[in-house]
Amino acid sequence: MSTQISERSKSSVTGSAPFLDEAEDRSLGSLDERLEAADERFYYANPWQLILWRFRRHRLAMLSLVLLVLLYLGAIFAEFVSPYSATWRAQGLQMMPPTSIHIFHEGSLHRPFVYGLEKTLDQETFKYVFTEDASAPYPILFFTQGEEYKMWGLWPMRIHLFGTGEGAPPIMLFGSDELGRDIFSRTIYGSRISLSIGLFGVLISFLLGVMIGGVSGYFGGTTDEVIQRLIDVLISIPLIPFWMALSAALPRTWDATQTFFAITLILAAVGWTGLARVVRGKLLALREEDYALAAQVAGASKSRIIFRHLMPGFTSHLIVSITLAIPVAILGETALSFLGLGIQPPAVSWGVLLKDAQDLVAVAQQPWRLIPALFVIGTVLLFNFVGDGLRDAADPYSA
Amino acid sequence: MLVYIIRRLLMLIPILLLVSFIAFFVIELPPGDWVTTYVSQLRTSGIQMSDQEAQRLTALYGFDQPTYVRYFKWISGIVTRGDFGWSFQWGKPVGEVIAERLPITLAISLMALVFSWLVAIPIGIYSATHQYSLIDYLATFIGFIGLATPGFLLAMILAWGANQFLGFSALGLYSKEFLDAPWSFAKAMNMLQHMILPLVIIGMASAGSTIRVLRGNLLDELKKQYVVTARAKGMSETRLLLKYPVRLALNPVFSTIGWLLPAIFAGEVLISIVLSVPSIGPLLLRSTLAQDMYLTGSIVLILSALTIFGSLISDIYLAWADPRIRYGGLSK
Amino acid sequence: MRKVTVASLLVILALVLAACGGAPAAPPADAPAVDAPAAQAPAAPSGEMAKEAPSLAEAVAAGTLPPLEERLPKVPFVVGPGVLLSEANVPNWAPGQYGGTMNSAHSVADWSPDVFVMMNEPLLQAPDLSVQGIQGNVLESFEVSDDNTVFTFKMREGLKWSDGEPVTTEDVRFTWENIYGNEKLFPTGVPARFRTGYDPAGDPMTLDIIDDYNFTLTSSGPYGGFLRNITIEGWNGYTELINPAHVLKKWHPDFTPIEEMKADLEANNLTDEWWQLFSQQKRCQSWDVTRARCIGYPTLTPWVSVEPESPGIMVFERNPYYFKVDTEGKQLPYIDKVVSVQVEDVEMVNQRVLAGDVDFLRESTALIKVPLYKENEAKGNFRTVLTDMHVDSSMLYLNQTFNDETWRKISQDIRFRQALSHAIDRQEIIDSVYYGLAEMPMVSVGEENATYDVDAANALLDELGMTERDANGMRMVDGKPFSILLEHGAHAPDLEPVAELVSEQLKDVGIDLQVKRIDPQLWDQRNLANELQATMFWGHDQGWDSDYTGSDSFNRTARLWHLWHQTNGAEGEEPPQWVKDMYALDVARWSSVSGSDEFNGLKEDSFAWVRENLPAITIVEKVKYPMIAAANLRNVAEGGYAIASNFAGEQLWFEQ
Repeated sequence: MSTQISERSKSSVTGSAPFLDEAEDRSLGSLDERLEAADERFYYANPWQLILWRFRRHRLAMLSLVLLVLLYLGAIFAEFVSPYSATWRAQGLQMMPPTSIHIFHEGSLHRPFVYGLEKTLDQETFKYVFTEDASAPYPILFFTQGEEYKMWGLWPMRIHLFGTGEGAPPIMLFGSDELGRDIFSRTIYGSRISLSIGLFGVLISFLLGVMIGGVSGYFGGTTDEVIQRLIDVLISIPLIPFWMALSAALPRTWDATQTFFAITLILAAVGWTGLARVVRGKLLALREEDYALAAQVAGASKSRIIFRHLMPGFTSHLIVSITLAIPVAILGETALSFLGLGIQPPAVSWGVLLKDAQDLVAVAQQPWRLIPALFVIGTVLLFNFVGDGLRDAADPYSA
Repeated sequence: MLVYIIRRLLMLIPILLLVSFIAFFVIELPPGDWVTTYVSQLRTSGIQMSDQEAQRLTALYGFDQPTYVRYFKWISGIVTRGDFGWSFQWGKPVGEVIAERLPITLAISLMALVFSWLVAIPIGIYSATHQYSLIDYLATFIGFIGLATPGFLLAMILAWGANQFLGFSALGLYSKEFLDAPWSFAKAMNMLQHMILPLVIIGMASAGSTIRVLRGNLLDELKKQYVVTARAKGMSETRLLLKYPVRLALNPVFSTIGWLLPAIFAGEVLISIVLSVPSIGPLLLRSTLAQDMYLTGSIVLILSALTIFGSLISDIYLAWADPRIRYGGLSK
Repeated sequence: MRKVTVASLLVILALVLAACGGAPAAPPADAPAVDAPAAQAPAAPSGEMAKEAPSLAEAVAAGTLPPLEERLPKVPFVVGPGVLLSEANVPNWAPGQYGGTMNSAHSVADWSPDVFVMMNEPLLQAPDLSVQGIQGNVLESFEVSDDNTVFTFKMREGLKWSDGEPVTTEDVRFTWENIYGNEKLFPTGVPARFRTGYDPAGDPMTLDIIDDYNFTLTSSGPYGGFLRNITIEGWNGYTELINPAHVLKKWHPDFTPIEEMKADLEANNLTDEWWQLFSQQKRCQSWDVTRARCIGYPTLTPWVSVEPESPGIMVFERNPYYFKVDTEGKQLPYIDKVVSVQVEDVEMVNQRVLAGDVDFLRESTALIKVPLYKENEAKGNFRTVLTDMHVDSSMLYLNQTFNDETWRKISQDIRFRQALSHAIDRQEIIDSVYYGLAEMPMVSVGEENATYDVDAANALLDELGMTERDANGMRMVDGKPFSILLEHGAHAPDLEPVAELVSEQLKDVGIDLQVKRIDPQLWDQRNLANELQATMFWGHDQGWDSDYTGSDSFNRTARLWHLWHQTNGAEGEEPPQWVKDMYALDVARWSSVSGSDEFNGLKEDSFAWVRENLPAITIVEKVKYPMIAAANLRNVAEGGYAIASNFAGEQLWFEQ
């Protein structure tokens, strides 16, 4: 038995962790010594510690997790991180490309700064041309005073992470849209709704899915039959069309917050079914295993058998499903907003920004307006990488 | 097996009933009844309608009766006469409007499903057997990108790119010269060309998840004892792989038809709107926005029913392929 | 431009003189002969030049179609330079070649505004869609009595419906007596345009049929605006007075027993409401030309609707009986076929433009896309013509009769509307949304109210008693938050960004304006049901001759007052005196002859009334408008209203 375990732990060290930190391993001495030490820790560690250890070896997943945390921090402190509010407009600077940041002024090195801009209309092409006024540099300031805002709608503040200060030309890292709004600030503000829709929605569907799927899978028989048919119905209703239909009945006067909660609930109400199916399918197969029978014989309660003995057998599968579910919710929001059925301006979400960017002029001539799309794609990828790492880490078979 | 199929077919009845409740719920959603809407529409066109006439219409459609009577009228119309109601937007029976566009939706959806499998199954198998190889990463990454990019945006960018760089106008089902041409081989080829973009975009989105599922399942299977045993007995690697683990790992893939189809339909709706494919998708969006509720409800009903048949087929396949499920479903 | 106007005035003068003198009225269609001596009555087919499209010539040869002489009226309408569009706007008018398919695109189910405008044939017509130089169109000519009460019309002898049936005064009589005169179809009698002064409460005109081709309409009082009312006012076309009686009689109980309509009634969920079947399904008015149900219905339009080969498109083929010819006697239209494809996402209409899949497009273009059009002109083989827009492209409407007491009190106070007008920074909107190609609304708002002045706006709002503010600085009324819900149908690409900008700008004076986009059809329903609190939509341009007060816009400014006026007090709510003043001004203006001193005086009064009362808040005036035309499309206007060029579809041709 013990050899088998060390076999497995070896495979986890060499095989399933491609981003193994070689230097760290070598510092632990010879392979055998290290394995023995690992065995030692392995015997006494609880499963979650094991998962954590293995996850930390998964570099891509770790990096993704760090980036996700940064994104969520940005969403939480959006007012502070973004130099402007989501609806602030730069007068006369509509459709401006991202501000260039300079470090040389008149041939000499300077702290990072921006120049003022002059906008003119090219009479031939009808394009706006922006020319820099190189006479005066405006340094980029950190923790600077800027537009007043209310932190979390509570405390009036003026301090921003960065900016150019009052009277200076604006700094717009991702350029501006057709109304002169700062796309960087809008992306940060937009992440608030988009990132939380994914999280809340999936949280609700996870709870529903595991509970209902668990019951269905373990009890089988009539209970299973009824639940399965219910799921069949829910699952067979194409989400977008159904939500489109529902949206027709949403009270017109609902504001962004109410719409937000409605969308979250809808996404969750249909989202749980997929998870429930996975849980049920796995349980159906696992409950025939000897150890389930053993637990039953030992007098364990049904819920204990489900949640204590059977569920851990496919945690990995659940985690893969969840990590796929969060980005699906995020994408769902963008799709609904694209159809004009989700969050409506002036509220800002990534869906709203994508709808703004769903413009041929943006694709052909103002590609910076597509930057919010990169955030959507990036976030979805990050969740998937994290899920991948978790899967490898939590998989009992690869242990 | 036959018993199982009959049982499953019988189970369809309550499911379809439930779906029809939901579709009817959708129809009844907007505030006010549609006779009011209809009267106001008639008045737009300069026709005055007396209260008497409005009342007669109200009675005709049962708006003076309880909901269940209205439901019964509606559902019996569908079952007995194939009458799905009246579309105000199109001034035609709903059935006619849908019949015109359903074949295109079905063709695109099924082709996208097959396309996603054609892409996903080989990649999934390769990824699982060559775990952590460069191609595994690449496949995973491409799968993720397919999954992560909002299809509507991708559709617009690709349509623009196809025109800009290949000089191919990707919108609609035909190029302009074939729009009003009678059917011909050239027109059919032209249509196929126009279907590439929607197929790839819709198919890639579901291929991403299929690759994930297949790769995960196959990895689990490959670690099982029987594989080790077979390998120890000197069975060839390909035969070993395809004979059992792949077959077993594919089961959950096929079992996901039930939830892949709605995703594909949803994708089809979005992509068709952007690419102007005259399918159910744009019809649904317009009917929803205009609150043409008989049309909206009927589309929800039909798409749901189609998905139910899809998952029925996948369930029957699963039961046939995996006896545990067959007996598990029967034991009581 | 001036020259042309003078010329047309002379023509009118000559016509009026001729009419008064009782001399045989010269066919007005011949008027352009002054400029183009080549224009004669169509010469008999002479020499080798084909006078009809090759496909029609084939049909004639095969015996399936009568020869051209039998298809054209005795006096066809001759299209030459300066006839449909002024020579100033189409300096290089040239007779064209037959052939080609015109591709267009539309984005609303069953409705293509570009095709509709192109197909529209009014009873009378004037170049550039103006009302200067009115001449015959579907009707051949007219005479007006000195006191502007008796209007004698001559129809085109030999004019045929697109199914080959003759058009006679029987079609007029049927329309007047069996449609307008039927109380099921028109419970309130003839429409306002056939009442003195275009007044819903005015006396109806009377119809007298003289013979198969001549009839008179007589009004009880002077109705000097009647001629211009049956040109383009309301875009209603010839179906206002001429409908194919031979088809419609089959669906009218005066001619056909209701029992014979049973099958069709049942198919439409009806029992014996023939009038609904008649107007909803069987009769096609000008507005219905693109509806699928009107395929095969006889028309007088240049092209007729045919069954398409695939769903999602509309197809129109040339009308072999069309009554217009060019200066060389060739039957119009030049272009064989018009195909419009339904585009589901308006944005993708522009994709079709870039791909060169569109030969003509007006309604769905946007100024903000001009750089994109310009960049792709060579590639897509099209050109972008910057023309004028015929409407004030975006106006803020506050429905003053919306069902909310607080709202009514505030929105009906002129100071509130003045405050909003001051709070809108129009220059920013012109720069952001209109590419600088629009002007401040000096005519409909006036310098005094159009200036951007936040202090003035705040002062006015404070004066109204809206001094209380919530935590976010938004104004409250009676301790409750004050919020305006603006719902727009995105009828044009500029409405959404303008509404969004206005909403942002109003925040600066503490007014909360929520903007929501809804489907155009739903928008229509809500507007009619008085459910829109505020909206953004266009309003007729002040340069347009027919509408100086915005009375037409009152449907959105105050739905219930408008309804009251339209139904002559039967429905809706009675408007206050200042609105009644406006309606009275309108009637007076419609009663006067356009261009007369009386008319000009009333026009100035109308402008003054608008500036004084601000019924709706105009954002910009004189907006430019891009129009897309295939590079080889000829006889397209280079200036003037884009929609006028759209209107003159029959003279467009492709240079091969």
